[in-house]
Amino acid sequence: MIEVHDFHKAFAGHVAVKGVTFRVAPGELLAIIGPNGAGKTTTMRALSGIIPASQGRLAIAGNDVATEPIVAKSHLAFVPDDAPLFHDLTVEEHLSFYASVYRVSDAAGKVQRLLAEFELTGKLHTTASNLSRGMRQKLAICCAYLHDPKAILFDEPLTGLDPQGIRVFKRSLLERAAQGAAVMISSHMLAMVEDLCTHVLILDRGVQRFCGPVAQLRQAFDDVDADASLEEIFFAATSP
Amino acid sequence: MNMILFHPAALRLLWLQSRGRRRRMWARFCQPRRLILSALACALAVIWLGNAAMTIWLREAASPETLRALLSFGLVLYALWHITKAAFFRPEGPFDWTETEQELLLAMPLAPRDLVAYQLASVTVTTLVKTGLFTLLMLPDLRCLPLGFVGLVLAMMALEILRISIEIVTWGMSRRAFLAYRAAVVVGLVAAGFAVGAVVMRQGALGGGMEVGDGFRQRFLEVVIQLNASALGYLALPFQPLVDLILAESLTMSQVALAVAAAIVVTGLSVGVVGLYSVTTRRVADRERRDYGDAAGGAGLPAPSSNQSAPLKLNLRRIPRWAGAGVLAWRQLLGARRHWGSLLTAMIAPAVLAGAPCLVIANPHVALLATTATLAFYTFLLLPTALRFDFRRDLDRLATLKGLPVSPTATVLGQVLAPVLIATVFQCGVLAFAIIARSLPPHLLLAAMVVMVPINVLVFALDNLIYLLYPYRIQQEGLEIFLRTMLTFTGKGLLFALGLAAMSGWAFAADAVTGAISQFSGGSVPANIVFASGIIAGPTLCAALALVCLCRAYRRLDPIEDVPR
Repeated sequence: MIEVHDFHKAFAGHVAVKGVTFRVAPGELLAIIGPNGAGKTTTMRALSGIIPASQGRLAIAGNDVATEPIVAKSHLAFVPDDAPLFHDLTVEEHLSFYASVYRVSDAAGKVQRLLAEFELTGKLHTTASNLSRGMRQKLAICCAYLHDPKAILFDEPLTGLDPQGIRVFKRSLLERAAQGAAVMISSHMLAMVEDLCTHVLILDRGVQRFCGPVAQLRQAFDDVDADASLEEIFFAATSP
Repeated sequence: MNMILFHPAALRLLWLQSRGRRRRMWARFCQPRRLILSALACALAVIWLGNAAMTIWLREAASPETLRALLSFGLVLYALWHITKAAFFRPEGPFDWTETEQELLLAMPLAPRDLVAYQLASVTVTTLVKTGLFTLLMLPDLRCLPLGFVGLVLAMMALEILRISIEIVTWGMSRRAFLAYRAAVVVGLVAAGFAVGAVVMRQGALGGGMEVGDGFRQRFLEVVIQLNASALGYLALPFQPLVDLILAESLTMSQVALAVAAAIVVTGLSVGVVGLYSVTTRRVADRERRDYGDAAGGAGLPAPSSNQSAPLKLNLRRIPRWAGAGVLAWRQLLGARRHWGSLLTAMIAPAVLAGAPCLVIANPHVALLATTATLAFYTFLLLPTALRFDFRRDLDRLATLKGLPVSPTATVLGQVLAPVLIATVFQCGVLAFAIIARSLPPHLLLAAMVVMVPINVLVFALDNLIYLLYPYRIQQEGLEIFLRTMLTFTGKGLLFALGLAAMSGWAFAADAVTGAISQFSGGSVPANIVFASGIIAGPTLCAALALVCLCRAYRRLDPIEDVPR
């Protein structure tokens, strides 16, 4: 479960996010969409405890990110855009590291499954600096899945992935949600969002324009047709 | 090197890069939180440079013989360093460009000549700056300043061209050729070591009454002069015309002609690098085609490596977690292990310098004390620069670290543990050598390390604290890094002096404290126990305080807003 209530974030006098409130229940997939600078990444970073909120309450699996950060973080996985891996660690060492940090039991079995699923088996002893962009992204996803988090945040997860990788990623996402994880994806790939997600949050210049199930999206905007695509709704919601 | 050699785009790029650097520096200089420190750094720079200038101008000039020997020795040593370095750290590319430079320049419609010219132009700029500073240092020794400066520029350029050539050649070698090169370098180094040893032994015999305690500097200079006069002096022969120029007495026609000839030779070498680069890249491409053809025509090439094909031999390590600190320290130590070669290289010089007092001070206890003090001084000022296996290499991963379910205290301890551990092992090694060399009781090692460990924690906690308060990119260079270094060195120097003063003060106060304790307890307490307790407690308390401050700084750091792009 991911809960955000009246979240505000300001950077040096500039308000990046203003009064965002939403909730992602277990099994739900929420897409967070909006133009560049809308506050999507800022919201995700605040949820993962990387930056503090200027105002509001953020919670992961019922644990407040501000007051119980360690417990909240141990239930969460955040895969940022171009995940900053540790350059001199191999794929295997990365997984050892994350298994230890998140106290993963039966790490070996999980690692084997993940490596096979994301086709990283042959890269076990390759350092992160020698992996391609797509491989790095796959490794970051494996590290994120390793501790079976209750909440998963992805920021532009498809960057660099090959078609096979995209297919595996999408399938894994649906499986994780089916197992009860609350999933949040920030992406500009609106077709993928429409295809995968159950809920949508539209942000524009830090302000929440819509949040709710995909089915209600078209009813929320009067100036779009009943059969309008997500792209048309996106432009209607974010046009100045 | 004339304008025809340089592509206008390469020059434009160099100029734009330099302008961008200046603009970024000025913007950061004017940041409100940095303004006071920036101004202080500038004031300190003026004071330190003034002091350095006065020291240089007032110092006594070296004799021509000593200077000639030192210059020859330095130039040969620099050249040998480049040759040796390439044998152990094979260059990944023909030029030491940044990733951006590589992607940008290699994709541009530039000829090999333009690429080499860009590299040479960039090297020339830094060489001129370095030579300018070196000329200032050598002012009292240079009889004819213009010729001395020209000679130094040409000597430095010759060395840079040698470095570039070695890097191009070693990059382009086949694996077999590279191994042969490495073997030749090792054999050469061993032979040179024996030759130097023989000369030093002979010099020792000639020196007659030289005992432990004689001036180290004097002994070193005599050895260098002896080396230069021996057959090893032939190694410096290619540099002799440049050394002649540097030591020229006056601006005569013959010296000017020598300068012109040397400049022509250096320009010719630059042009030679262009040819070398063209030939090497062609050979590398030919070899790849030949190898591919051989493999395809023979047993056949293996299929492109499938990620699934390799059998899975999983070896997940069981890392001690220690609330997260253990895992973070493990990761930093793993990084250090990957860079063990450069780490070892960085440690050799300080180990020699710290061990030197042991060979020149007659009293063994004083010698050990001097070695310990030299180690402490080195640890305070220079070791943190060599051991950056902490927050300082994680600028782009601070957000990742903050996202881990690890408390700030454990994160700080885990991040700082690796350099402290490496520094402690290094100090143990040097002190053990000193104790064995001077036949001192082994428990002195333990006594020294009890003080050194908290000092290590203090030093690395302080360096990380400064870094988290004012983060910067390690790759930064130029005036900005000069001012930063000035400020931190001065601060650390003052702290070190303060520590020494406190220690001296405690030496007097310990007597009074011992008396008071004895009076209070009614028994007799040994004064040296009280003194030692204070010496251990002082750095330990300071280290604990520095760690607390570091935790606060880490907790308050915003990895998005505070980290420079």
